[in-house]
Amino acid sequence: MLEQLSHILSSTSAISAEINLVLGIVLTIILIAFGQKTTAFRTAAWSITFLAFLLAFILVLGQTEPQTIFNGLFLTDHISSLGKELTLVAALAIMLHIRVMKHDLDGEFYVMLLSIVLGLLSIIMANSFISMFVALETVSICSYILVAMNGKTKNLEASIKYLIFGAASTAIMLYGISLFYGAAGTLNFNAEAFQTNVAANQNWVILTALALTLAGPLFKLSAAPFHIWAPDVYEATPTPLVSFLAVAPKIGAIFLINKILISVPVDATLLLSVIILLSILIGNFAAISQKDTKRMMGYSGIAQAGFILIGLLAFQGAGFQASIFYLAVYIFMSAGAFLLLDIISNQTKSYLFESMAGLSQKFIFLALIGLVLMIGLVGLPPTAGFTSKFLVFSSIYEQYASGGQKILLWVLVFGLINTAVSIYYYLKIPYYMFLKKPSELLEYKAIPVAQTLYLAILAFIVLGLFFAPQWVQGWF
Amino acid sequence: MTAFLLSILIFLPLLAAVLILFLPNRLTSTPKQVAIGVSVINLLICIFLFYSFDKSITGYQFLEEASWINLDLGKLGVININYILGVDGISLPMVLLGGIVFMAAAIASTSITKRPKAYFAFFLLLTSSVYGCFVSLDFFLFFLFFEFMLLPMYFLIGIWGGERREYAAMKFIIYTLVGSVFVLIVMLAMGLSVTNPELTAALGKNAFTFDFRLLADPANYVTGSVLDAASGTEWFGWPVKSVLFVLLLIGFGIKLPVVPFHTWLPDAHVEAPTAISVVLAGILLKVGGYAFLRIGMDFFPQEAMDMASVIAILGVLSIIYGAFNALAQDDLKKLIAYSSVSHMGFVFLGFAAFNEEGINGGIYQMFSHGILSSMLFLIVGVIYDRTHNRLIQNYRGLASKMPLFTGVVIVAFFGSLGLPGISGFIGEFFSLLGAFKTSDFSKWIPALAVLGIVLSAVYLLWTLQRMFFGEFWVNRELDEKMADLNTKEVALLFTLGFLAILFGIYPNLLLSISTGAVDAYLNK
Repeated sequence: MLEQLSHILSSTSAISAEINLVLGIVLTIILIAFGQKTTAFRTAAWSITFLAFLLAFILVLGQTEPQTIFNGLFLTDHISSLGKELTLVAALAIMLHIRVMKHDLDGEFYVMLLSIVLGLLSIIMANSFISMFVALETVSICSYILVAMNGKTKNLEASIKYLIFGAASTAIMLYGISLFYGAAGTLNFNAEAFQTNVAANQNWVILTALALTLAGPLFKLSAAPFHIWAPDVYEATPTPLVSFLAVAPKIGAIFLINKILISVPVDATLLLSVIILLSILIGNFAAISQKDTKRMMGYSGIAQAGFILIGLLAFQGAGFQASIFYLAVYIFMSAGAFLLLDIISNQTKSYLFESMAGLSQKFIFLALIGLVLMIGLVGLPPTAGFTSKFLVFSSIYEQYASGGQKILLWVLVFGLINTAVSIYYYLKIPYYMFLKKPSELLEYKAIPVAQTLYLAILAFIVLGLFFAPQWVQGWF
Repeated sequence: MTAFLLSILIFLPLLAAVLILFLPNRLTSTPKQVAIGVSVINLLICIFLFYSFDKSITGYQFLEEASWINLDLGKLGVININYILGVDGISLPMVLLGGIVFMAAAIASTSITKRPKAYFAFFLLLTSSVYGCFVSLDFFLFFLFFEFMLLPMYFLIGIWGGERREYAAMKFIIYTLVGSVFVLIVMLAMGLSVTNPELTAALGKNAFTFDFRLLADPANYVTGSVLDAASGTEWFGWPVKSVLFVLLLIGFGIKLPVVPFHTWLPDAHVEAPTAISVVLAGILLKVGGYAFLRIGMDFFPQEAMDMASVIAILGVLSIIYGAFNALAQDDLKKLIAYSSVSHMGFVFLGFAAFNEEGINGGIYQMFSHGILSSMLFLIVGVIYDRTHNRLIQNYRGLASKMPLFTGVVIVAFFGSLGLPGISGFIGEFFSLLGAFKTSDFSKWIPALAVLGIVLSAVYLLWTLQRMFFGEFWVNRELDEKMADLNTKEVALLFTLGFLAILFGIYPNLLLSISTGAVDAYLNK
């Protein structure tokens, strides 16, 4: 009994960052309950949330020792703390976005944000299907609410779509987990018994269970075939929140998929390859025909998810690191792109491509920064977007060269050709800003310095990581 | 003093581009002056390099090396990406050509009035990346510049171009990006199969390298890697090295451009403003040829020899198909664009021969075409500036009203159709000589190429006759606008004409530089 207690106590000290987030949630809720609906209180809620994220980030930095906590439900090590750092960086980036754009969000939004991040941190250190499921559902349910919260019809529509697809993928995942449980007799996927018992089954059984289980994280990643919610949600949700939903869940999902792939003793190359090829194909070709920039970002996010997954094809080698690097760069590129769209829509009151026509003549720096971010998303040098694509592709090339399967080569070639396709739609933004004539009717306002500055910092990071990738590499 | 010359070539335009962006909007002529100033300095550096180049050394000169990115892949090894610059007898002519073409283009750009700040910033970015391509000796660095070239070009065509500029710009960028994806595949495969032997020994694990000098040597291939002949790996049913070579052939072939990957070029040329056409034809296309020689044939000599007839046929196809297309054009600029396709075919033909005459001829042809096509596009610009109309049938007998202009046109046209005494002849002659001499492919191929020369005489002389000789007549009452060349045009066209004749009469100026390097290249 005493032993149990001391284990729980020592476990508790390992999740100080999460506890800190819970405190943030409680404080914000108290503030909402007893405060008024004024700007001052909203700013206070923002500050509490920002501080909670910042403090959590600092607390996470120290954790490197591998430690199993709460009877094997969670595992903290340097990989999980890396994942947490990335998630918190994404969260902080979005908080800054909300601030510089002067979005006056209700306190409830911040509660949801904090809860999602809490869920994501738990996903990243999950060590058992139970804790994984609870954490994933925390993230999902809070995301549904976040999307619906604006209360307009299109928000509700998006949220319902999100909910239905989410519920379906959860059900599929549960089925897969139950298969694993039946095969292994344990829910702890890091246990030795799990590996040996699962390996005793036929390959196709394990593969089926794996495919079903992956439905959950793939849904969070917005990878095909669980991608259908993405464009609607992206279009309907307020921009800073989309910016968050576009990146943060991807981080959790990638870390989780990596963990599952390591634990499950089966070769999932073919399965993953199909998912990747589908994601890239659907995302890219649907993005081409979009007229709305946010929908375009939604579809292109599906393709990006495919590119990030490529690294996991070589998870035994340097692939996971490549994926992490990609994610790290993607945080800044995506946050920058959404900030750019937000700034532009402040001017034009629209998210259509056509509305940005000729903006470069008035705001040359904005347009140039936009160009940097977009070529980063395409993956052209000299941006870190190129380095990250370079790393994931070299990792599967390595995997292939050291005796991997033919399909890896197809993924490589196909993926590279698709980067060439993606330039068409990403470049549409600079295309409209630089090449089109501005519309006469529009009155342009000045853009606050803070917005341009923050955007410039994000773009600078995207450029800087190309010339000095060791900034992120040093974390590994 | 000479230590950082090549870096200056790259970074001076880059810095100047950034500087221009920060200039206040009211200084409308400063960007122009900055761009011309930078071009002059770069031209002087190129001339200096040309004169102080030591012809007795066959390797790279003016080397600069610095460590850049070291990526640790864990147990797999380390990826080493270095900042290495240098020139040899193959790249130096291209660098010199760059100096000349960018100078000419900068002067021709002075008439730009629409958003000059942005124009010259993009122009300088383009300058920087083109020089970068020619002097980098690290595949990664080369690729960086090779890709980066697309963006300024996209905007230069897309913003300052003609009627269908947006279409042309998009077509340009998608074509060339597909090309560079092919190159990227090769870069990945090469970079992760070749190691630096010294560093590998020092580190105790594979030190992958992108250094051109190490990539070219099969001794550095990692045992058992896909490139290693002993591993016998096949991709899509072909030996890996052949696949890689074909990828490079297509990748750089798009850039060159070689038929059937050429369709972006006429569009891009017709829509681009004069100065950008000059850059495009004068130096950008040469990146494709140079890179094919430096990377494609240098890394895969055996494959290049095996596929010599394919390369040669592509070359001849370009020569003849380009010439027939040129014959059918009404638009003078389109005619010149197709003649570019036709003349660049000789480059491939010469390279395919894989002997001293052929490769020297190919390099010479690139240099000479750089100068002559710059002249030709400037000539189109002269007419277009006056009347905004480029249709051949609208002009007749220009010689009587514009004698100076006609003089330059004659030099450029005769140079292009290969008149001895003008630089075009030397390039075509040596390319054909090499192609006839080699036993790698049938004599029918160069024989057909000779037909291309006849065709080029047909379309050029016919155009000359239709537009310049006979009684003076200009359609749509534009005749009073047909004044002869102004000072700027005289300076530009006469200097280029002089260079064309100089390099035609005294080819040794260039051949003495390239021969040594080509010798070393062949006898490796």
